[in-house]
Amino acid sequence: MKMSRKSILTVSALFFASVLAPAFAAGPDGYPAYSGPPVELTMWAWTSNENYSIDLFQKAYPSIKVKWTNVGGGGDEYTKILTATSAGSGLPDVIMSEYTYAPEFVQFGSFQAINKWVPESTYLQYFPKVTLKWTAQDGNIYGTPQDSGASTMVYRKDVFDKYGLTVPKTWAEFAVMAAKLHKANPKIQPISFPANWVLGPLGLVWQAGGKLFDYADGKWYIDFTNPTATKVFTYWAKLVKDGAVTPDMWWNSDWYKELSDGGAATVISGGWFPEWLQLNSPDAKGTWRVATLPQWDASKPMNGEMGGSGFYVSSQSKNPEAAALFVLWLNSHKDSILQLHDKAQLPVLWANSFINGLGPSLAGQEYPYFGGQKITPVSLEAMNQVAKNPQNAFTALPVMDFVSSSQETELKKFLDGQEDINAFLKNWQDAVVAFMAKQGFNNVVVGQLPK
Amino acid sequence: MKKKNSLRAYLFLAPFLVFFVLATAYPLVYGIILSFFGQRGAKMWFVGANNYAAVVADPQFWSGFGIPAFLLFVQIPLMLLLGIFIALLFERIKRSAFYRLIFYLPYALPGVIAGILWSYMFSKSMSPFVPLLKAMGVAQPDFITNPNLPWILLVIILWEWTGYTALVLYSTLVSIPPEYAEAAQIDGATRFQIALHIKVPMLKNTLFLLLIFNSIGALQVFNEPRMLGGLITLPPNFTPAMYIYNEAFSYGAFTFAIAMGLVLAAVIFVISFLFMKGSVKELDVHA
Repeated sequence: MKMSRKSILTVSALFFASVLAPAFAAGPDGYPAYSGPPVELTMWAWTSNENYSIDLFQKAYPSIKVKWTNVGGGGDEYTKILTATSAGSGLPDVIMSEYTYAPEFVQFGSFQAINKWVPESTYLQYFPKVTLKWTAQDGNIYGTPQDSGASTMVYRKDVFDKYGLTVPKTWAEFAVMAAKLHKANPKIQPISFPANWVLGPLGLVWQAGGKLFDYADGKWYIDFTNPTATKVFTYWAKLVKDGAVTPDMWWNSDWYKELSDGGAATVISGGWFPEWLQLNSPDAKGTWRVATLPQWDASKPMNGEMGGSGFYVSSQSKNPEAAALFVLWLNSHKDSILQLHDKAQLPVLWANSFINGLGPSLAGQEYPYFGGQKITPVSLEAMNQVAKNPQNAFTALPVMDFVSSSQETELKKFLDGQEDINAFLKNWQDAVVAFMAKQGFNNVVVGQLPK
Repeated sequence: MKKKNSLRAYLFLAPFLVFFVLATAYPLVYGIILSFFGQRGAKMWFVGANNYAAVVADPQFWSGFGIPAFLLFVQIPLMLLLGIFIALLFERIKRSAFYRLIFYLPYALPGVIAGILWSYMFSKSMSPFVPLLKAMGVAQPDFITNPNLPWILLVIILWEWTGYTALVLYSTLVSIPPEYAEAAQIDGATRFQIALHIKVPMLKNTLFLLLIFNSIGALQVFNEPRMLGGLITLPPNFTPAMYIYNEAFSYGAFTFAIAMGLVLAAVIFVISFLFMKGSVKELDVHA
């Protein structure tokens, strides 16, 4: 068979195209292309229905497969991360972690930097800069942010109506509401305040424009007794002393019951909480509503996060390029974000495509569980209150489990009347500083925060 | 001939020896080696005996022994007394198999499930005792408070282990030849006297064994307090085993935790040894 010159040209063009294409082609929808061999990534994550996004990702990047395992939520997964890191093997390629625990895993050597494939300029196309506080350290990017923990306040409309309470816009109004409800019915807690969940109080300090610790220029800064922190803790200590608020042990059966039967009039928690409540307290359908947090200064609304998680590339990953592209696409592509919102039930996400696209488009969506309330605008506003005050965001200490357990221990002493709130802050800080030293951190600055 | 016999013995022992080496001896030796290293993540460096020095000097570690001591001096004697009493009842009742099964059941329940069960028992809002206490005029029963904690542990552990203890004692009782009791009866001894002066002394060996095993259990107590940790704030060093667990799995200080584990093992060894030494004269050793 004799080939025409045209067909020879076509065949050779196709040949060169097939050989060279991977090196030159851009990835799907402007995302970076994958240049490595076909791989199967492994991932640990505890969100539900992550598979819908994975399916779409595998279509966008056909040579990367992702095998997802749920090895337990939060602490259950963290013990496995610590163990597998120490053992030198056993970590998956991609790890889900709350933003507050990520610095610990960075320091522990569980994550690896992905700047080579996702440089900061690429990252910032898809995520707001503030999120780098939770996904990067010293210029190294370790992962991407998924959901937002921007705090909201859920409140029992039935309780508020019955006792003639108005939803507080400021903390001063909140204190009045708490006292009024406590007087009317001491059996109902004005708020279920966590006795064993440190992210709660940390988020409240953040919301007031403060922080207890941060990381900058290679140093850990610790200052628990700064004026803003003291103001927030003193406020809550007064509510406790007045008898209106009794901190609860969260996450146990008594607490679930309290959320279901109207034993608490409000709960302040992260942006993911409304969905969590819906799943864990179905009996209370129709009774709860969502609001933004009361403010210290209503003219300058601010907010903080409580929880929220990112996806990070593990130090033991043999395929960091594929893993980096996966975490970038998973948490930012609009198709994935839609699945994460609808199927994985994450109310608000940190991706630009959510903040500027999907989020606002959901403004009219009614939630039957919340009595038909359109909750997305509330959650989005809460998130924007965080995003607009990036100076308040901080990197958590690399010993958060200890920060948490020591807070619980010291808070118990305060509640048992053994120490006042100033002693609580001082003793808590001393315990954390001592623990950091015990863990071998010699780059700790005590008594001040970064400028 | 002798050599051939011992070879055969080792052959029969092989399944056990393989597991012993893999699951006990190797981890122990490896653990001892690791305990001489400092560690953060996958990084390790030799520190000599520093971990041991830190354990011995760590007041947090030693203050965790309060709960085991309470169990040792209060819960175990109480359980052994109850066990003897129930075992004697088993022996007296005809067709006691049903009761033996009932008393044994808590022991057969996995610790985690028992933990969930008891967390409901002591729940503020859902405990079955709440309506009862309310009827008795207690407005807001709060079981789980710091001063109550040792007693709550005592209740749970008694519930878990007394039936088992009674069953072990009962199996010893039934192996006592009936002639002793019959002879005593002919001599005019009452049932109580027979129980106290004939039967109980013959339980001595079994009681001693139970004492050793339960003391080891008390020093290692972990499951029950860990379950209670969801209901009330417990310090990370509430018991030595909890402290070891937290140092390893919450804070990632594995080699320090191993050193603590080995020190705890040494403490257990010493206590067991003292018990043995103190009791060996009292025992009938059929060697």
